[in-house]
Amino acid sequence: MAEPKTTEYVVPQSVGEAVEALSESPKARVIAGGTDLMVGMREGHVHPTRLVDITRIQELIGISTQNGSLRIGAATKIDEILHHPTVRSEYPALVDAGQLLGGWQIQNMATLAGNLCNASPAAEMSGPLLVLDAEVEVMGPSGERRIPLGEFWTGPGKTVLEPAEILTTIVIPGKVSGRLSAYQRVDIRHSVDIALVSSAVGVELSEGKVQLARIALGAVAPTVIRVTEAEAYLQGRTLSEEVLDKVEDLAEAAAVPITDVRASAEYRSAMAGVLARRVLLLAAERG
Amino acid sequence: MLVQLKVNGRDVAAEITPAMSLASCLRTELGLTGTKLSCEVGECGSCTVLLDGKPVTSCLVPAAQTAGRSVETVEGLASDGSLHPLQEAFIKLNAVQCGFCIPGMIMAAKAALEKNANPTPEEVRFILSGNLCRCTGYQKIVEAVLLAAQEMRDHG
Repeated sequence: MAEPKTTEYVVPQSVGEAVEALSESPKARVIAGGTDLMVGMREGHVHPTRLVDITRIQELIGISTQNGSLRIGAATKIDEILHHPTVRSEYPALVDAGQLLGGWQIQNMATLAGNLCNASPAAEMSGPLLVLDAEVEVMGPSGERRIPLGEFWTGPGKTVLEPAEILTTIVIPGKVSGRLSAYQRVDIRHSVDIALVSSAVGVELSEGKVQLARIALGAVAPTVIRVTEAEAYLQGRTLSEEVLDKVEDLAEAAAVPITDVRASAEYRSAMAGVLARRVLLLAAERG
Repeated sequence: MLVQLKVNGRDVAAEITPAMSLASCLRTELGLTGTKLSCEVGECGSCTVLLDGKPVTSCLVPAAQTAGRSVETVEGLASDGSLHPLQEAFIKLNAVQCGFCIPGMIMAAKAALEKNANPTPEEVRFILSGNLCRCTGYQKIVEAVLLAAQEMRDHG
């Protein structure tokens, strides 16, 4: 296959330099792990004339804690996130999802910010971060802004990022405890696969009663979505069969999927309910 | 543009285009055709090489991103005329049908055995789950990795 007609590859050393490199060239694109962009260029979906490689910007690499929040740099690899002790102990849903993202090779290349910016409704890391009330920090020519993740995506492949803006940090504020969180997907071959439907759940329980619930569904709408009806319904309730039946119904009702080569809309809706129920129980059992 | 990197322990320089993949660079610019290109979307694992010791699908790595970094390919495994224990084990157990996927399988297995010298069969299947064999000869491949692991433990 012909190589895409990209004429420049620049390697900024700071976020400021990266923003400048993007501002100068309207057809510039950020490249990090390359696992989505290299495919997009080869298949002719995107035609950047300049690639801006952010993987040498030290301030964008690594994971830190700050006042109870967890900050993950945009260029941090999925594999590094999977092995981080705080992520493993406090945010098991991120580990569930990271292990399902591509295969080992992809996890060594792909970045968390890339998975979010690619804005696939089936993206592995989106649901777990949504249920943790994550936010993203963005830097652009007019300065920095912070965006709740729920307002970041506008459709398949679309985000609120302006052309010269880059996502710099993913922040998990720590207001939602992630200890009882989980992620699963329905898929065909389990490894190196794309979710037919996915669900992430985070709950806080006190004496068996739900104090707070977050439920997200992937691959059933133009973006990853929250099932706020089920979250509100769960408040103060115990996870009885009757309550779980209702959660299943509410999740199924929230799904607005399409039929494509991977699955029918009907199947996706049914599985959205089944999976939300299953992942809710899995999360609760981690207590 | 010129990229300088280390391949199989040797400093090399290659003339690349900005969007060229590491796999293309290895095969066409450096003549290292042991690394195979198949799906070119990161799903089959046949182009697996080690980048700074970690397995990556080289079809998706921009060659420009490897500047100053270290790449290991299947050509780097044999030393002083002796094959690597993984290569020996694949030959001994006939764990090869058409052979196309084997360089990628072996590179992923090498990285895995460096992290865990005594994997279970289930763990071997897991670490090779990013590598497809379209001849479906998985059973012998798993056995060969287990045999190599044992050889490497016994003879360090």
